[in-house]
This record gives sequence, structure tokens and C-alpha cells, in this order.
Amino acid sequence: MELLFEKLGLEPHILIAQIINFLILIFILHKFLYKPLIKFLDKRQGLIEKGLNDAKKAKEELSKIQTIKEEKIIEGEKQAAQIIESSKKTAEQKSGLILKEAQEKSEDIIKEAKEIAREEKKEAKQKLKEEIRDLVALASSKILEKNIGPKENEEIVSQQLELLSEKP
Amino acid sequence: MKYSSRQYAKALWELLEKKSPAHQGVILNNFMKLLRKQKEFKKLNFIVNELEKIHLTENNLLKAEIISPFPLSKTLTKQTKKFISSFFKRRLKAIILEQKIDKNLIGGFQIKVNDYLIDASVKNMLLKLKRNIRV
Repeated sequence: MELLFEKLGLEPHILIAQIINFLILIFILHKFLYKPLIKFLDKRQGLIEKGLNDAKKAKEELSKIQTIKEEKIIEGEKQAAQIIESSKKTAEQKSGLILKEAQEKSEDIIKEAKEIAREEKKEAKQKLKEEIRDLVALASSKILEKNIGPKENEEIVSQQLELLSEKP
Repeated sequence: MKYSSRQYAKALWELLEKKSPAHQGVILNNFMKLLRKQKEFKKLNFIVNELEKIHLTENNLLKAEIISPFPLSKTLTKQTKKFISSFFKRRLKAIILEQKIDKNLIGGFQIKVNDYLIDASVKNMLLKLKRNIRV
């Protein structure tokens, strides 16, 4: 062993000292550099992992939200379509009713107008008849006024008295 | 107490009956005073009308009015009185016939007795004719 050390140019106590130094260095490095570094790296890795996880979660959440949003949009569209459809139906029903009412009203108005026209025609006819009667009576009275004098009146009175006396 | 015109007229008739004209004058004066006292002077017209009715009934008389467009001859007046007598089926002492002229009647006559009307005028005939014309 000693021969080997000599051939290699090594001195055992220096080697031991170097080994001890090396061990001390390793210890110091381990204690003050590797540990904090590893701790730091671990922490960093944890943070990165957490960030990645968060990002993943956020992505998932976003995806979920997107899905919900799409579902909501579809649902909203469906509801809107239903509302439009129902409104259309209601409007159609109402317009149908309004149309029916308007038709009925117009029929009533026409009926009433016809009735008024009929009444007016009847009244005009009646008035005309009355006027004809008046004219006949007036013409007759004018003719009789001209033709009845005291003598004719005596005859009329006499005849009337006879007629009335004959009546029971 | 208030009395009707008919009651006043009846009382007055009984008082005036068979009295001399002088005495009747006194009775009438007193009657007027009584009406004033009773504050019923406004009834005088009605009382006179009632009195006339009593007078006509008591004396078996009938007051009639004949309306014609021309005056009637004496013959026709007699004929009219005869008709009235037979129409009302009463043996009358006399008929007081008042004549009125109304040219609007054109011809014929109207006889009014109390509230009764006999219309034999040409005007009435024309009205009937007018009603019966069929157009």
C-alpha cells in the first residue's frame, strides 16, 4: 500500500486530510447548499405543479363553463323559440277573434242599416199616402166649398136629418 | 163649511122659485153677499151654469146648439127640433135652439146638446173619406 502511494506520489496523511476536507466540504455543501437548493427546487416544482394543476382546473372549469354556456344558449334559444311560437299562436287566436268580432259587428251594422232603410222607405210610403189623402180631401173640400151654397146646404141638412132619424 | 156649485145652485133655485121679481132681486143680492162672505165668489160662473141646468130640467126644456155654414130656414129649424126631440126620446115642453154659423163646416150641420155632439157636417164626411181612401 505504501509502495502504491509512493508510486502514485501520494502521501497518506495528506490524502486522509484531503478526504476529510472533502467530506467536510460534502457535509457543508449538503447542509448549506444542496438541502436549501433541493428544498427550493421542490418548492418550485410544487408551485409549478400547483400552477399546472390550477391551470388544468381552470381549463376544465372554463370548459365546463363553456359547456354550460352553450347549454344555456341552446336552452335560451329553445325557450325563445317556444315563446315566439306561443306568441304567434296567441296572436293568431286573438287576430282570429278580432276578425270574427269585426265581421259580426259589420254584419250587425249592415243589418241595422237595412232595417233603417226599410223603416225609412215604409215611413216615406206612409207619408206619401197621407199626402195623397190630404190632397184628395183638400181638392174635394175646395170643389165642395165652391159648389155648396145656402140652397144646397138646406138639401144636405134635410137629407142628413132624415138619414139620422132613420137610424135606430 | 164649503158647498159645491151644484148645492149652491139647488138652494138658490128653491129660494127663487115662485117668488116675485122684486123678491127674487133681494134674494140674489143676499146670495152674492153670502158668496163673498164664504169667499166663494169665483164659483159664480159654475153656479149659474148649474142653475141653468136645473131651470131646463125643472121646466122640461132642452138647450141645443146647431152649427151650420149657412143660416137655416124656419122649416129646417122646425125639422131639426123635431129630430132632436125624437133623438133624445123625451117629451119636451120646448127646445131652445141656438144657431151658429161656421163656414169651415162647408155644408151640413153639427148639433151640440150638453156634452153630446152629432156631427153631420161635410167637413166630417171629408175626414171620414180621407181615412177610408186606399192608396
